[in-house]
Amino acid sequence: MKNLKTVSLLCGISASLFFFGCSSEQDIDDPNAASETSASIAFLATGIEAGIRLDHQIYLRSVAVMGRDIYYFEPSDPRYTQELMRGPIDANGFLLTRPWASRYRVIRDCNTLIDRAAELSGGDGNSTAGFARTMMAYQLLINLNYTDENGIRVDVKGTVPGPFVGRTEALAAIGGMLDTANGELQGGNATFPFRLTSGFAGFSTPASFAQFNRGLRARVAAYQGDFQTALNALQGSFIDASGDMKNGVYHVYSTGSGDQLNPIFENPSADFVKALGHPSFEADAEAGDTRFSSKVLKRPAATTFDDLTSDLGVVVATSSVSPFPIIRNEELVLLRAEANIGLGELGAAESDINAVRANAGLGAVSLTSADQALTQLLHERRYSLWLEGHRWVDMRRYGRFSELTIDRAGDVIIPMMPIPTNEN
Amino acid sequence: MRVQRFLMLAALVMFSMGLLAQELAISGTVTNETDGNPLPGVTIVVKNTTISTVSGESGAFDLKVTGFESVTLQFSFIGFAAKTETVSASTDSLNVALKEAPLALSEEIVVTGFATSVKRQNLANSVATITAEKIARAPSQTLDGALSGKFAGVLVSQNTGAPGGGISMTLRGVSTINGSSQPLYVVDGVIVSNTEVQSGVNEVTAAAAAGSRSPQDQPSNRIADLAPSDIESIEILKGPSAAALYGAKASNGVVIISTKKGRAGETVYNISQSYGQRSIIKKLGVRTFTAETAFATFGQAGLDVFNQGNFVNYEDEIYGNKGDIFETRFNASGGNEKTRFYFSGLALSDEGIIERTGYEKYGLRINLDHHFNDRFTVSLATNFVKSSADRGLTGNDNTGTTFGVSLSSTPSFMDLRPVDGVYPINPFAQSNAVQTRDLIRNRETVNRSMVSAKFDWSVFESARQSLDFNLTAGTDFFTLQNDARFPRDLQFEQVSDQPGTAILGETESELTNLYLNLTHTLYSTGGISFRTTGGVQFEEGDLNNINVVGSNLIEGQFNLDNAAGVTVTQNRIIQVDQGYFFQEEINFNDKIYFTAGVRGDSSSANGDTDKYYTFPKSSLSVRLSEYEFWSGLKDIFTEFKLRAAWGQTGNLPPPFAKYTSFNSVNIAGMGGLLPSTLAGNPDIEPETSEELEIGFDATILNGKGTIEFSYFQQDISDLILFRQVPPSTGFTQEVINGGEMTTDGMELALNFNPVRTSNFNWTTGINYYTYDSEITRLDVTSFTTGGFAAFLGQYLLREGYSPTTIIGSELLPEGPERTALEAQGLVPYQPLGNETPDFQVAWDNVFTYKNFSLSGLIDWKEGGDIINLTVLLTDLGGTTYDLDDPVAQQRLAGLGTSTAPFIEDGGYIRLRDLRLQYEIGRSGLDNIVYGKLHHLRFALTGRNLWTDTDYSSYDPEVSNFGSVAIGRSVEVTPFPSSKSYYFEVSVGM
Repeated sequence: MKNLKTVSLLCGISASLFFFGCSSEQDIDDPNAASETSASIAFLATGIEAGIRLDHQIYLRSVAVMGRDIYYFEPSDPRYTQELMRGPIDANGFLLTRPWASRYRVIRDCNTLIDRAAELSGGDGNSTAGFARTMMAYQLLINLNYTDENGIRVDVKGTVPGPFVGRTEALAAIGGMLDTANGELQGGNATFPFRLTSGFAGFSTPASFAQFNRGLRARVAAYQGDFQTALNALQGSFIDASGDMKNGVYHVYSTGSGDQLNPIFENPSADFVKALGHPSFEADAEAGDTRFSSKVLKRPAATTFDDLTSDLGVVVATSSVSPFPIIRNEELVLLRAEANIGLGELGAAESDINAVRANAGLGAVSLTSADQALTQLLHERRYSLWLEGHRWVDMRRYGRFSELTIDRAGDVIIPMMPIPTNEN
Repeated sequence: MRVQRFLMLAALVMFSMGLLAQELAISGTVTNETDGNPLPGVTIVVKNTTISTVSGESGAFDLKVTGFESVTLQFSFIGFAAKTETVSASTDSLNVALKEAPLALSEEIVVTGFATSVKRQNLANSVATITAEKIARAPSQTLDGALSGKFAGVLVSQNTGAPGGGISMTLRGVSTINGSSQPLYVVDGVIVSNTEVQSGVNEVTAAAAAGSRSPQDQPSNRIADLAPSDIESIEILKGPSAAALYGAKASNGVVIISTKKGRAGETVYNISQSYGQRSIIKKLGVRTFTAETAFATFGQAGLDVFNQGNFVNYEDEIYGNKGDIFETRFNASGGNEKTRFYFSGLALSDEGIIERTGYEKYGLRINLDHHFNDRFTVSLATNFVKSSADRGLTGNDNTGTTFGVSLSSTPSFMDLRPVDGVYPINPFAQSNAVQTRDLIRNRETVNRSMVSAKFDWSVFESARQSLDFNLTAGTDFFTLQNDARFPRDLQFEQVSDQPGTAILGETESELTNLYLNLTHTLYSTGGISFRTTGGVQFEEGDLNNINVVGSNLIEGQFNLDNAAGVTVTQNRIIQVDQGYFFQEEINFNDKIYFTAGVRGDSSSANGDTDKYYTFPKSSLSVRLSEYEFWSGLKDIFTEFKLRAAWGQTGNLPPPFAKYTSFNSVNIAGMGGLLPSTLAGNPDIEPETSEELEIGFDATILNGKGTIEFSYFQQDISDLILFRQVPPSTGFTQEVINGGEMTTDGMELALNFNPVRTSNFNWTTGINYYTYDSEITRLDVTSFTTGGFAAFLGQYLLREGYSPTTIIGSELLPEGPERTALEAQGLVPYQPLGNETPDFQVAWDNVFTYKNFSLSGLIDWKEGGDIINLTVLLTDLGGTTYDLDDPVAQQRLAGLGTSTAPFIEDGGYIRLRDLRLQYEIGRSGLDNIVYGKLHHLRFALTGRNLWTDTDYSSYDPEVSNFGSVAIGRSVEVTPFPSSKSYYFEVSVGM
């Protein structure tokens, strides 16, 4: 009897051991995220399009503050009104490191997609690689805009990233990448083997996407000072001096789950907003310039923060789901003007500049000298492309930082971002 | 399979043993020497055998011993000096009187593992135990909150003053950099969850959206759910040498909690009711403006508001609430020899110092013990808790929405209070803090059940040996709901065109445990005893967190289907662990005690899930006072024991550390994938902590006092590090095992009973402890972590430095040290402070005079620096109380280049708890309620009543980042800490 009890108990214990031991698989897949094997071409391509928005607002805000497009009043972070306006820049600070890292994160996705593209047949493989390479070049350009002479890494395919290269070499590499991509896109089928969002409406086939590629190439060429290449590239782009200046490629946003809202948007009539136009943007505006009146809403009271004061509400984005431009016709027309000025073709430049001005409700100007033409061009770029990430870069390219307003004693214009500490 | 074979073998062994004849029958009673009253519950052990019993209600006991002609009986009871009596067949009834000795705890049983325990007199580690009276001296919202200052070597610190808790516990210093930092909690033998679940309010505050990605939702931790009044005792295994048998989860120490059990006899009821009040410990003051300073700080718009002439002290307005506290407790205990029960109920309502915040808790516990017969016992502990905390909106943010950040830029001349139900717009910040307080909800509701069952089977027992089997199983299940509501008409919601936010987080957590243990005890004839213990452990945890954020809400509605936009996130943590242990104890006549053991652990969190990581231990104690040569010293050192212990424990990698995954990102209704920013490590291993502890324990002057001294050194290797990688790889971090750290320190505990008369008794105890840590090897480039940026104060991790070193913008002066660092390509940061305190002292006193008793604990932390960013924000916002002083101007002028002014000494001396009690015992209550009352007790109690500190902000107990290992001491506009006092009436019948 006693033995029986003992044996049955031991059996029970063994059974429970067996149950626990077997039911508890310890080699568990990540319950929260996909493995690389489940990353299909469509998921990767969409990932790239979603990813180029990540932390991009930090970049846009930072270059807009450094280029004195706006002030950014952040009561819980002194950096926007201190570090960005008077330095020194913290090479480990998030203003630099977060957008920088997010761009390279997208580039990693691009490299994965290029590898995947090799598994596809002919045309689809070409167009997929062309798409990925174009997006990669765009992401590299954004980081190079931040660090300029300090350079970027261009070859980051493997686990050990390649060396830093300076501005000239980096621009050449980005330009070359765009050219390679253009060739690949030309060798694509009628459609991509994946879908793009409405942000690429009109640019969602390999052939039309190549026009976006050429637009970027023109921007890079202008940065290189290679104006003939810029003009050539523009010919393959979607430039149209008489067309809709807003036509172009955009970041799109939605309230869908897992999506982003337009981070630039703030309700301009809210009682406290963080982004406010730099007073010089109002002071320098020509009367009747719709580019000013459509992008700025005068607020009933000025806001003062950290000894800076402005009453210029920002209405570049009209809602939290409005798209935000990546590149658009207005920039292309101004790029053609810039290239022509660079090549001494002031007449051609004048007609493009006046096309943009007419669109803004302003009268024509005449270009008389190279220097005056350039000043005029930079003025038009400032008002046409306000807050789209250009002014700081433009003034740097032409060595005109001294023309930017210094608001407070001790403020400086930050010339370029340092290389992030964790790159070393 | 190995285990089954082991069990079978064990069963065979025991049946092969015979039984001896010859019987000795002993009976008697035990009494208290002082008053002659019978003593129930005294343990009576026949020395050198497996035989023991416990005295019954009238102090009576009887024992049957076979195979001996005479035996030595040992009588022991906590609070009394142990006594031995030799008994032979000729002995008649035995009457034994025990002498009270409040400090003689040597017979107390100390738990050292799942099925292992040891008498304190033999223990080779310093293990502190506190009992119910000290835990529940003054009411505390949460269990961990009641433990501050109670243990040498244990730093208990509050992270937030928000109702519902949020406490971190550090045992003998930090032992990890990126791993889990909190100790393992074992309640009634079963591991329970102490998870911190982030509330999700980051969606509104965006606290983790800029300088730091670390979550900052000011979470509570789940050990808060236990009711302090249900606890019988708490024991803390502080280091690896003591905690080795808990293996890969124990490198932060183990907190072993035993809940109250029923006592056989007449059912006893206790009811107690407390009423108390809570208020802010310290107010900082607000800046007094003049027209000039208002204009200088806020421009013309500021001056216009100033001229309206309304002044509001926002510290009083927001943090000035006097919160009412009601606590009702009931318990009943009783049973008979076979079945005993303990039943308790708790209802607590505790209002916060911010209006519309507070904590409510309802608890129910039933503990049952049943002896089927002499050989089978079952113990069941069940606990159900429902708690609800309204935690307000405090801490860091990047949206100007939390009370503190909003007020940091709101001057006192701006009147935020509603006029005819309309809240004025605050032009000085993105939110109107009064409106936010009045309209939001940030509620955390927990429903939790914890059940543990213990089955003990005396498989075999003879006079000389015994084999015991134990099965312990437990489950800890809770659902936690975070319900945060931000109506669309809030000022800050209007900034968005999707106004109104509803956050609903649902978390389900289930922990299941199964332990099977066998213990074999053998008493040899030479007075040497052996105990062999082995067991297996299975543990599974599954935490599933679903967080839904609805935006653009319909007016007055918070159901998620009333939101125009919905975002869902889900996070699951699944962990499956298995382990085994084996331990051999050898006891030489209670003079020398030796143990050696090993624990093996495998876990789904490790890279190699099949690999068992082993954690050995060994210890030795020698009771010198038991030897002849000590007899001359007995009057001074009544008991003296030297001890040494060595052991290893581990800290498992975070469950996600081995995966390199792709994260989903959506755009315009399409799903996409982006590589994770973390490069996982498929070979990740647990961290290993190794500790050597040496010390002595002494009882002096025949029990008038005790001295415990320990020195320890811990070496932690294979540190799990999130190494920063060049972000151009697409990753920002990778996980590696690479680094070593060493911590050494000492602990001294003194307890005295200087006065003991029939009317007056005074016991006093002092704990002192200090430790230092140093990173001895770092396989990654030195880096800064925690905080937000170097110029805002961060922690520096660098070889040769303490891991809690705080740095800022300041660099070392020119010199060889700086040159050397620069030569290595390192930033020559100048250390500006250190979170680790210089030392801590706790002084506890208990006075009793007749029916009165007065007890209190003074807790002194010397040093330990804090990064005070609250003052930085108020400086920037122009509202700091001292901003018109030159010193504040200097602080502000140096911003960006000088961080030192924001790093402050967080030392304090604090009256942790105080209790004044008047108790009428049974004899005084004869004529009341027909003599049915056991006791009637009145008490005035208080917690944190008095604090002395140089720290300039609200309270030096603060952490913006919760219970992180490195980076705790950062303050950003927290929920201020509070003090509380209570009046309590308690009746027993």
